[in-house]
Amino acid sequence: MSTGAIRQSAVYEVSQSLGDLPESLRMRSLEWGVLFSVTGRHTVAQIGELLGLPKDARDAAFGRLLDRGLLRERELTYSEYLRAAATSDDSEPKNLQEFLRSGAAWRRETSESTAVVAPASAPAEASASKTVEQNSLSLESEDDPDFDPTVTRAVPTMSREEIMAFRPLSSPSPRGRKEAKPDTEAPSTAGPDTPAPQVKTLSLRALMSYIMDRAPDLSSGQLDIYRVFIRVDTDLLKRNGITTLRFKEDRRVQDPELQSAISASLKSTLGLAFPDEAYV
Amino acid sequence: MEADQLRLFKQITLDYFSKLAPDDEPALGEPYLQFGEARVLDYTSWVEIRGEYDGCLYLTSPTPMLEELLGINGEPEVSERTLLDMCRELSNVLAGNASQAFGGHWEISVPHSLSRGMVNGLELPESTFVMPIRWRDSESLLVVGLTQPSERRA
Repeated sequence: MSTGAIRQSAVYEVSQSLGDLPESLRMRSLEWGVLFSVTGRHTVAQIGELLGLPKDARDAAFGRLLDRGLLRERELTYSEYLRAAATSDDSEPKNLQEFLRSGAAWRRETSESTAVVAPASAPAEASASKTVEQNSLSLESEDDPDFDPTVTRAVPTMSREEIMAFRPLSSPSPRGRKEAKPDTEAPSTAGPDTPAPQVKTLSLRALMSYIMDRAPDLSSGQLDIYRVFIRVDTDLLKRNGITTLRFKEDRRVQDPELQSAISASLKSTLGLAFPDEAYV
Repeated sequence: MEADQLRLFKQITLDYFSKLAPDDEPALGEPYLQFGEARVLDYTSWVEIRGEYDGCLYLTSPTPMLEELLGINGEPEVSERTLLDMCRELSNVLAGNASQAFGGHWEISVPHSLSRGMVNGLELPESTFVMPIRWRDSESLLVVGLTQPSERRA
């Protein structure tokens, strides 16, 4: 397996059209999920974050896809690499100057491995356009007369949504071998297919907690949860790898069809809508 | 199905084991939902229910659990026949418990006692609520299986 070679800042693309995959190809659902998430524009770290995968599972899945020859790594330009590195806990050795320049300096050393922080001059409310600016933050910040790379700043942490809105690398050619355009031209490549779709991830634990909190007691809450899931197609659940569900266990659901089925059942069974906190 | 009914059903099933061996209290494990293929062990005591939903209630046990129960009931012989007899005894208990807990609003069928091979021929609900009961190093599963109201037969 190639897990040892998986770098969080690496950007992969599929090596052949998904339509050309042999029908006999069989993989675990996690590997299919990763394969379908590979865009040639997002880093390993971003895809792992998008799918809510632990690092080991993510790297193992990428490793197996590489072993099967289904992925190949994209070559990055200097500016692309800087943006890619800012999405990951890149453990590549750097000296202080390199570290501060790489963009990784703006990440706080916390357990939130992808928590990216904005420079002190950036407003706390990061809009999509501001997020774009932040992606090349360290280089731009050095032009600020007040910028001092040796000073540690207390700066706001980006939300998960903002992380997922991280500006992807510019699109490669269909088979990915054409060199990406320089960073300065990136906005012009923002065609209809450039922005990655925002996939909302549903946390079943958060949803179950929400239902439990509204029930008079534990048994009632568990029964309510069961009632909701009775109406959800079990094939759909199984397709998403859910064959058992413990009431305190978390499962992340990205499949819009399954989200929709659970939402419909929640509404018809308990008269409730997904709460905001059910999304992570 | 009301939570109070389910709680009562669970409790009187646990009480059955408590009364058999007061020194070996049964422990209720963490319940969970099972989707797709229902969990079935070696012997299953089973009743159908019909009410707000259609479905079934069953207690499914491994052979060692029934062997323990045979021993407590003074039955020295352990064979397919006696194990199925013990399963029938559990089925009667289960049906009685179900009537006590859900009676009134639910129709409850006569109990069935099934070995693993016999269960395979049944069409079990695809979503089940599983409550593990641990007793004397074995684990039985008390299961509620309900089907969608829209699936109800005419």
